[in-house]
Amino acid sequence: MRRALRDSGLSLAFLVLFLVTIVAQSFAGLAETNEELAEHGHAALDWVQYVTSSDFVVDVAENWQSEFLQFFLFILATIWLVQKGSPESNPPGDEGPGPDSEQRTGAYAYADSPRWSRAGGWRQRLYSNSLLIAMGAFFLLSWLAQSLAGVVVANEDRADHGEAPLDWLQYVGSPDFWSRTLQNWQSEFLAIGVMVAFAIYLRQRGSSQSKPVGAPHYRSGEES
Amino acid sequence: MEDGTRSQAEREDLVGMRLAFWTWMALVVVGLAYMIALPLSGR
Repeated sequence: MRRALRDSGLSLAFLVLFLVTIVAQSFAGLAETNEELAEHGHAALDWVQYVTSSDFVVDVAENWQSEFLQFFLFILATIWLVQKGSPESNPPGDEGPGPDSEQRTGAYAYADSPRWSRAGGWRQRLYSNSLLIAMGAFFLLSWLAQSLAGVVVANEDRADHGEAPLDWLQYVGSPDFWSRTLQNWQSEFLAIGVMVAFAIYLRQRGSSQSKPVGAPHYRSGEES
Repeated sequence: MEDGTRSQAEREDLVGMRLAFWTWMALVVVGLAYMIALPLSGR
């Protein structure tokens, strides 16, 4: 049992952090929403009403979509783009999806390789891109959720000001939708750029996200 | 004996890895389904 916990410590730790912070977000968001409701002379919501409202959903979804977009673009970009010296990058010259011999697919698969990496045709192509497909699908679905919840929230606000409601298409062209979207995207791209560039010269001993402390600055990911 | 111990450890590894993968997959899928269905219900 202790070994099982240790072997999954990374995913378990982030699961606990996620659950604690989303619950904390719900209480902070409830307090903020109730302040706004009081300013407009509306009754306060309780916690269950808040977490089953589009107010809560739009705030969660706008962050989810940007995280999945970050991973989607990072995975996609690191196939074709490199940064010499970064452990996050393939070495220059190794751009592209790589040959079967390197990827251990088809005839080059190990005896215990995943079954679909040994298969040919569509199954190998699908499995070869499954991480990118998952991140891309989760990005699109969470962006859709943001837009659906966002239009409900925007229309509640417009009703308070005596304005006509927007339909979904009008909302996805609105400044509110793009402000929520772009403020999250810019921070994700900042984080990726900083991580890729800082890791050329900076180290964290023991972290899988860093080159070994003594690795030369010019060494990229697979060379470290 | 040693083979038995190893296969027991491998089985535990498999359970741990599957649990980690499917826990996160379920969390994301359920979360997305909730976040899409809720605004569609007009709340």
